[in-house]
Amino acid sequence: MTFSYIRQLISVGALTTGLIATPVLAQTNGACADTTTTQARGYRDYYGVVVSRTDTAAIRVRNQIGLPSMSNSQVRLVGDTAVCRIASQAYDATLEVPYPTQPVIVLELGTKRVVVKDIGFRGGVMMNLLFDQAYGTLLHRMWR
Amino acid sequence: MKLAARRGSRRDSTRLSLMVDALAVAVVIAAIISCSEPLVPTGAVRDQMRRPQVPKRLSFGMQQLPPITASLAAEPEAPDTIAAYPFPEGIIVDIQISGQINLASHSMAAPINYSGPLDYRGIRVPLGNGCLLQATVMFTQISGAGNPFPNTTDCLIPRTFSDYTVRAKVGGFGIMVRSAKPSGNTYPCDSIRSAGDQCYMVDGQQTITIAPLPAALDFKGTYGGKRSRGLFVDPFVDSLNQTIHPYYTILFTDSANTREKPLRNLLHAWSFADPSDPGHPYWHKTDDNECPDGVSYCAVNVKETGTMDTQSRVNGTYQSDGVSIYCRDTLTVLNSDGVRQGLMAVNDSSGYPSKPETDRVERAFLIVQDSVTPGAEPYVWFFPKAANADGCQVGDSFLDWSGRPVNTRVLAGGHAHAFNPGDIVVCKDSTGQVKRDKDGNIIFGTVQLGASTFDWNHLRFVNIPNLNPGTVLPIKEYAVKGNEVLILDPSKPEGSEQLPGGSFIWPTKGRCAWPKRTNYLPET
Repeated sequence: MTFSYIRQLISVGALTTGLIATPVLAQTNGACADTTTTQARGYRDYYGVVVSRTDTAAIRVRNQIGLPSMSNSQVRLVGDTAVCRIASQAYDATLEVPYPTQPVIVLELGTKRVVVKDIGFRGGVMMNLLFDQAYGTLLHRMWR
Repeated sequence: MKLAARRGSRRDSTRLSLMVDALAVAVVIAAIISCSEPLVPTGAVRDQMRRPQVPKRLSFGMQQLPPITASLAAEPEAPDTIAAYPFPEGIIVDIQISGQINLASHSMAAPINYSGPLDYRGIRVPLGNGCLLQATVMFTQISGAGNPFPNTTDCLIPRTFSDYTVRAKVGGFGIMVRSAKPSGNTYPCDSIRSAGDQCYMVDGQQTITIAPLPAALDFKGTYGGKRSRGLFVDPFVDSLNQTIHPYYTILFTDSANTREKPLRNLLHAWSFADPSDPGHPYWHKTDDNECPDGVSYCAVNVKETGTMDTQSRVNGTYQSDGVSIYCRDTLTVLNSDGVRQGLMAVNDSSGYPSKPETDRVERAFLIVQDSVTPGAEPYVWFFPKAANADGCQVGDSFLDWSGRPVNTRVLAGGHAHAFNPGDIVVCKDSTGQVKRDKDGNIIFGTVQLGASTFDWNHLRFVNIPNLNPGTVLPIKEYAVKGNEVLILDPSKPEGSEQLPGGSFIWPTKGRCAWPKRTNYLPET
């Protein structure tokens, strides 16, 4: 999400109305983004659909990326600060572009983890990283 | 320019007969030229002319031939060709003759001095029976107003002058003639001329302007009482490709806007939305011989979706257009020519899939509807390409909808997707630079399925009440790539665009394929 976009959101009161939450950019003390926000829930919903699609095209892309096949409800948001800190460090170490203060959205997809952090790509584009459950191995880099 | 009105001569009395002779010659030439134009190409010639010679619609609205302006010749009694309109159907023009002159006489001639405007009627000089500097324009074909500049002896001065304009339907060659010498004015001009002088001296300019009127081709199809550029019929086939309706009889009409403008059709050609479809085993495929070239009205048994292209000459201008026949969709917003052509044009705007990935760009659009005109059909309106847009994101261009056409309500929003899921691409940072890690390696990633975080955030943003006046909330957004449209519905969770019913794919094959017109511009 671009900063200009954020400014416009603020200018119309979108943030204060709670219609659009921007947890990734919000300054929080913990490493986890607020899991109750629209955006965090949106990520959970999104990956819930992606891992549960049964059509050929989706399976092909999912296999290419290395995302698991599972039911929608098995995708969980992580709210554990300690885990988020580890995930954030893994994210920064992987891209070698550290944004240590940026909170992260962390998703559990069975034995795999998706970590999302805003590191300043244009137009609200987010780099999503797919790790193993120990955050020790990067499995794939995804744009969303 | 100096115009010399020379002294009269014995030829004065034959001035009109010379003009008539010249006109007769022009008629013959014009007739030859007119007849040399093939009226309706036939056989192999027609086949060769078919599709390559049908330019798609390039622009809507009026077109006109440029006006022609000429000054009358220095030897005014000699007819000069001023225009050629070799159109058997004619062309409606405005003809204007005007001028500003200074007229003086030789010291031995009957005195006259005049400075001022000049119209086609000319000026009566002393001792003359006719009108000096009387001008006329004649065409080999003319109808309606007859001779727009009839002979007149009403040329006394002083009088009130005004630019004389006449509207006439003309064709062939147009010649301009001016009387140099009023008849009967032989003395003393004969003796003045024999002495090597001029009887009357004229300075100034007399001009003729012929301005063809603008005209627009109005090509429409009619079915079920509706006349339109896009007609929607019940599907020819069902989901199993079983025939439901073998054909519909569609009336196609070429006409001019406004209707009195001369029109001549030159070509009709049917473009199949899916040329590879074999058609119905018994009824076969649409035969555009049912709409011959040269006719302005035809009834065609249309057996699949497609576009009837036309090329016509309208008041001298060559214009093309097309009428598309579509299968009706259960999604009402899609039953609009402007929406379907607009959605198909989204790919043209993004460069997907024809351009290299690095040259593609996401492009935003709105589906709008005229809020003033009752029954106006919705259409796709494109935002200007954002300066910071690329294949990864649309940029900031479509946050503010106030730049859309005036008096429109927004029915939906949307944008192009420029990449396929699974594509490995590079996205730029907020400064427009490729992002690199600390070792200088470019950060790349794989494009995910479905809509992005930004897409959903934007959907929620535009559904904020009162943010964009003229928008009826809630509003959906569409993400278009190829013939797939993801539907972002604010009442549904993220990812729903990937679930059944969350998207649609427009058909590109079969008898209900969407016909695409190139260079489409929305009708507003």
